[in-house]
Amino acid sequence: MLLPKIMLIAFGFSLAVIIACGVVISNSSATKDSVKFSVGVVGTKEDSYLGMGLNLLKNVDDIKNMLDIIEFDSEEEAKQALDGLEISAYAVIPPEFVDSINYFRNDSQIRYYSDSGQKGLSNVIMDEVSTIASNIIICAEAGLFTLQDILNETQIDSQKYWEDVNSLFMEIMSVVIIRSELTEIEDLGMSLGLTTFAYYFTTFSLIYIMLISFAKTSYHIGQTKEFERMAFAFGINKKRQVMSEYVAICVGNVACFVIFELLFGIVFVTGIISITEFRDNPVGNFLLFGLGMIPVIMLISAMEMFLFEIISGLINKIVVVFMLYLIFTYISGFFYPKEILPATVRFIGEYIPTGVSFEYLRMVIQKKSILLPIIEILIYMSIFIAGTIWARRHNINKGGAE
Amino acid sequence: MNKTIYFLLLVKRLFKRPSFIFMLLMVPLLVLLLKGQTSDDGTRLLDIGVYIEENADSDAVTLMDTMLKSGSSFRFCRFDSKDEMIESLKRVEIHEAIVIPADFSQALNQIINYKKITNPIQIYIREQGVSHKLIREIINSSIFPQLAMKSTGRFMREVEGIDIGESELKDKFEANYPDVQLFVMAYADGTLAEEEFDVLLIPLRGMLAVWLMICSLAASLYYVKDANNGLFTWRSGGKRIGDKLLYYLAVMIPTAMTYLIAVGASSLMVNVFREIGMLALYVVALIILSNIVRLLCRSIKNIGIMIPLFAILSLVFSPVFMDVKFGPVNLCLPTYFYLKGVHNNSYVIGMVIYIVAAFAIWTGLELYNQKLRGKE
Repeated sequence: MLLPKIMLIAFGFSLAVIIACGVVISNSSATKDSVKFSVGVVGTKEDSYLGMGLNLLKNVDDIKNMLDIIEFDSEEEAKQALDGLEISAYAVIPPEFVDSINYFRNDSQIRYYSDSGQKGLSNVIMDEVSTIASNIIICAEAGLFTLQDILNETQIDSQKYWEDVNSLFMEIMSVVIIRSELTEIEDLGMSLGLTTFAYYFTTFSLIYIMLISFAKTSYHIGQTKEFERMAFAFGINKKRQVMSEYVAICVGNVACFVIFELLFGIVFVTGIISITEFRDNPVGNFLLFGLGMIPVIMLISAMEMFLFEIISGLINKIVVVFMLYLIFTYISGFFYPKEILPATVRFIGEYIPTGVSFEYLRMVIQKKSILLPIIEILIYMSIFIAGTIWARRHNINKGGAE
Repeated sequence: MNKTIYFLLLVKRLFKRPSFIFMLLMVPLLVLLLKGQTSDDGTRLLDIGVYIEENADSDAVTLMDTMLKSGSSFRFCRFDSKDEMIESLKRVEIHEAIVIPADFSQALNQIINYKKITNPIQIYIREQGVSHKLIREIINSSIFPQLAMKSTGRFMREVEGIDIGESELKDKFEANYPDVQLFVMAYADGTLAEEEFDVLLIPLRGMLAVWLMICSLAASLYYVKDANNGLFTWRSGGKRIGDKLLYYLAVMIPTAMTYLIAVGASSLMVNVFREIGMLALYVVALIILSNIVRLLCRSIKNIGIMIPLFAILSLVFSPVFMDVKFGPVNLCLPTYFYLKGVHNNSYVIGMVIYIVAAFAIWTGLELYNQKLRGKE
């Protein structure tokens, strides 16, 4: 387990995970001052209501913190920018749309094209932003329509009619621009949840320990029934076999995690990543987290041993275990915040080994009582070790080669 | 022994193991289970708590109703007590909490007259981030109709000198409110994006695509094990690339079919023919990549070490959970091209170029390997 090659791979894999963690954190919307969707626009006309509205959105309105509007002369240019990843999407405003808005017909739509392969969370957010923009235009229209209805009942000349409509349009836009004054934000600070950095640091630490088990594939595959029977014949009973293998796997995983922790510590100390929960005593808290990982490593090692024991066949061991890990990590909220998952899935995610591990580490980071999570971890460990012993007995007693 | 029999024997060997069949059945079953968990709230992203103070005026009630009925991805849930709502926020049961003041009409009148707001809507958050800015915009969006109406009323009275009653203004405004969506998302190939979607199933295609990649790497492990056991001695020493392709296809075809069934069961399928075509290209790319990994790594131990590396790189740098742009790494992953190419033909072309380049590398490595073995 502690062969130099495996330790070297642990070093390389740790670097990969840390870089991945850094990339994810830097792309996470919660860590930025603003989400910046760069959207290209083709076909604006300055002298139209739409043109004026877009100008306001681009330069004056608060929405400019979320939406970077870049104008293009042609769809080809916008498409090239999209393919070159300079923009997230581009919108083509058909000529009939401008008239549709100017004359309040609303019988045309603007399509915005994304480079996404499928609808994801970022598209959902873009949908929300586009709905907000749509709402601004529609509400302004409703006001203008209402004024039109009233003015049509009076004997007003055409020039003054359009002057009044334009004035109301600017009036509504002026109020819309200062709308953020209607709301006030109060930050409660930390509560039961972790800050974004701590959240991703915890999940990536867990992902690292789970995935590093695949680096020991040759060991798991090398565990043949014949070897187990031979060991049994030499007086090493199934319990002793399982426990000695378990200790070896644990030691290997701890060693790999130490490498990960050291590398992450360097990144942490240099200030590239800063975890709010560790600020009062960075080194001490970081070491405490490392020590706190030991029960989790023991749990994941037991789960690893159990799964590789009960699943037979080389291909099955890899693909089934990987699939199970992927599902566990997903429903425990490692990739998306748990809050977006349905209640039933969230409930299950909290009680499976990955959810229990995450909850335990959250308590460690927030320096709360870890008694209940530790008991849950011990229960799972016992189940996995007992299950492995039972499976080993079955393998030893079963006749014939694999 | 001809190629067909060879292929069928390989497939038979896999299907002799109950656990392999169990795994193939497990994937679509899990998808159906996950799909069953999404309800009418499938489109819900986050829950936002809303509390309205006692003796609220009509504008406050209108705002509350607008929020509760909104079709936004963020679901607004009403609370009867502010303290209960804040506690729910602290327990992470809701993402943010909003308190609508009872005298909201006063706030609206103050803003349209450009006066300081004395009693604004309070938004409680747990930590700074950008989601609260978006949610703030969504809340403001709920207020737009009332703002526009009141601005129009004020303009008519003070600028035009038209004395219009609140009731008449509201009736006319609502009658003139167009119920349309001006912007709609489309993919690069022109297909309109789905209006309804299951939040739980968003990353499913990506997760299964990464799983397929792991299957192909596992096939490499199996190949090396069989090669070490002399399985290919009787089959031209395992030199022919066609034989290698068949070997990997024996693993990839059943798993790819399971993938297709799972994607179909999840309602993520775009078009059957496009799906099959894209999947075929993806499987070919994976087989070639796995062979390159096999030739470079040579042993089971080394290939096993590459599995977690490919897993983490694919999960992060392919658009599985988020779209992370990191050119050099993105372009090395067939998963990236596959997931991006679902609605974008540029990436399909990219995948074909990837396959051609990777095939050239594979062929080069095979020839080099055979030369080395020849020398030995």
